[in-house]
Amino acid sequence: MLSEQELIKGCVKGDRAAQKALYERYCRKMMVVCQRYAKSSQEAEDALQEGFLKVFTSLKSFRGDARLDTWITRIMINTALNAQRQKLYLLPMVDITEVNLPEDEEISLAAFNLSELIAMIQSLPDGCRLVFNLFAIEGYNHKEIAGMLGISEGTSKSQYSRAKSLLKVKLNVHNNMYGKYGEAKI
Amino acid sequence: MENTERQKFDNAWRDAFQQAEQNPSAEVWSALDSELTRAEGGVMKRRVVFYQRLAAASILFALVFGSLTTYYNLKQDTSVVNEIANANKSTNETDNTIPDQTIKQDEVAENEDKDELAEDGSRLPKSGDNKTNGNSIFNKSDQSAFIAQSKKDSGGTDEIHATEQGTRQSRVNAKAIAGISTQDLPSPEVKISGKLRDVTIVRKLPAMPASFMAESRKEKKSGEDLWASVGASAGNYSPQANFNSYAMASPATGAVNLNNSASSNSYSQGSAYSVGLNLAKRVSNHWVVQGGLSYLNQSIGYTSNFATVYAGSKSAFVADYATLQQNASTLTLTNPYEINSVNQFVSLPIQAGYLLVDRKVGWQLSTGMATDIFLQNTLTDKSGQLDKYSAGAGDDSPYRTLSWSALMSTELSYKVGTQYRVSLAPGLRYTMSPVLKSAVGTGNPIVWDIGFRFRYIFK
Repeated sequence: MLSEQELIKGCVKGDRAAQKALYERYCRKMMVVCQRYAKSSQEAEDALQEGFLKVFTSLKSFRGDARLDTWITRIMINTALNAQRQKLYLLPMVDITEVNLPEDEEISLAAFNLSELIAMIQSLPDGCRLVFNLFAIEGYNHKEIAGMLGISEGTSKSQYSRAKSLLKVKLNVHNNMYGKYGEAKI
Repeated sequence: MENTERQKFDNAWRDAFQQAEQNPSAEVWSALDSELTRAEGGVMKRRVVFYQRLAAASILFALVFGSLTTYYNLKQDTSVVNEIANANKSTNETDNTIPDQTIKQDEVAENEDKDELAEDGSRLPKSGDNKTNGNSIFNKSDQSAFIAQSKKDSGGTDEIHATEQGTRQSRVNAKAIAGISTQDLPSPEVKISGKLRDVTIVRKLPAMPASFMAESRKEKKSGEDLWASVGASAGNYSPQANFNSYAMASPATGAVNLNNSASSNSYSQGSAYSVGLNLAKRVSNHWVVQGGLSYLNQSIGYTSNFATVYAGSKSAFVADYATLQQNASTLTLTNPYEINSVNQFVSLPIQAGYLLVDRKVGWQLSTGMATDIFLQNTLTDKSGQLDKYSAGAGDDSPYRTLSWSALMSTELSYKVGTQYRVSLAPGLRYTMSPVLKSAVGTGNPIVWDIGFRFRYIFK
């Protein structure tokens, strides 16, 4: 098995075997990243393909300051965001001035399989989905998200709140249908 | 507030996706593979176009350089041939006084004496009846000289043996056409005696340095993308021009009877040095583009025996034919004295380099062009008796303000520390246009030099 450095060198040289090895090493993880931001699996695969193309063409500029998977994840997120930005432009996000945030409770998602969780996120409106991914999962704050998406900080907050409430509703629906979802109590 | 939220709801989602993986369809790699192939094809196409242009430029440069070199060599050879022709002219005139009738009458004697001449080891050409076989490669004067010699040696005879003569003629013609005398040919009677022995040839591979062994041939790229260097070079300057001829001879000037005898030093060798700055950028793994700015100084020494009389003083005269004509009335003959002529330029080179070796030791081949801006020419009398004469650039100057030079060089470098290299760079500079505007007696200077450079690598 090739080391990460050997893979990088091979990819920079244009060695197709090394490129395939790198793709196979990270494609599954990156597929999930793309699915979270995309509206469908097809969109996710398009973003995955475009993202890896960028990875291979710009790998020579990778200086090893961050972990390779972190660097690739950033490229995938940017690629996915670029694909969604057009939609955001056509359907600009609006501030939701009043959001009834339910009291935050401890939940567990252990009872859900990955496809169900992805389906829940993909069912969110475009703006909500992006902000939720960036805030809740990637760990960016609202100021950073506002800068990335070209929206106000307040819009980011309101989109996040809406995403959160929508997800809780979906979890409740699931709970009602199947009786329980792990140990979660909403 | 944000932190609190993240600690519960968000963390649950983050944890759920922390190690999550899902297989994409196989079509993603197939499509990606096609995209990569297409992208590589584009890069390859661009590279091919670049290499094609580079090859075309190199061939063009080689053709131009070869043509010019051949032209000047031929020109030089022609002048030598002419001199020889002139020197032999009087001799030929004497030989040509032998009338054609004499030749016809003496042909018999010529044929009769061929074998004797061959035995004497004579390399004089022999031909048969030129009028009948039409294969003669000798001119009439050669025949006359030869016939006269034959006649002298044999004392003359009128007997003709037709058969024998024909045989001899064909044999002699064959030898003459091949341009080989009988002494040069091995005797057919010589036989090889003794027994042939088998000889085994053992081929030995040359010893290979350990540094070329497979294990040690790992890629050790320098990782250098941008660097600047300062350097100086010195070498041989050949102006490719007849300095003495236009310094000492002016056929159009009747006012001064100039000496035309000194022509042995017409193609003098001078010296050249340059100092400059270079900036280079790597554009691909092996290719480098570099440019810079440098000061050139090219000096040449030659002898003159006249000077310009100017306002009661004498000064060394500018070596330009056109100016020489215009100022002929101000010239005066002097004792021969040594002149040092110095041309100064600012040069702006641009070169493409190919890195053959890019490790601790580097080896680069470069070729390109330079724009040379003429600054000044200074003529100095080495004895100090005459005043210095300087001519700058401009419309009224005999020197071209701008000229272009073709550059070829190689650079052998050694990395010192992480950001420095020192290098030796032998090179050739061929000026595409003469330094002087006048087309008479001017040439395209060539400089062979070797430079030392100190390179700083930007990180």
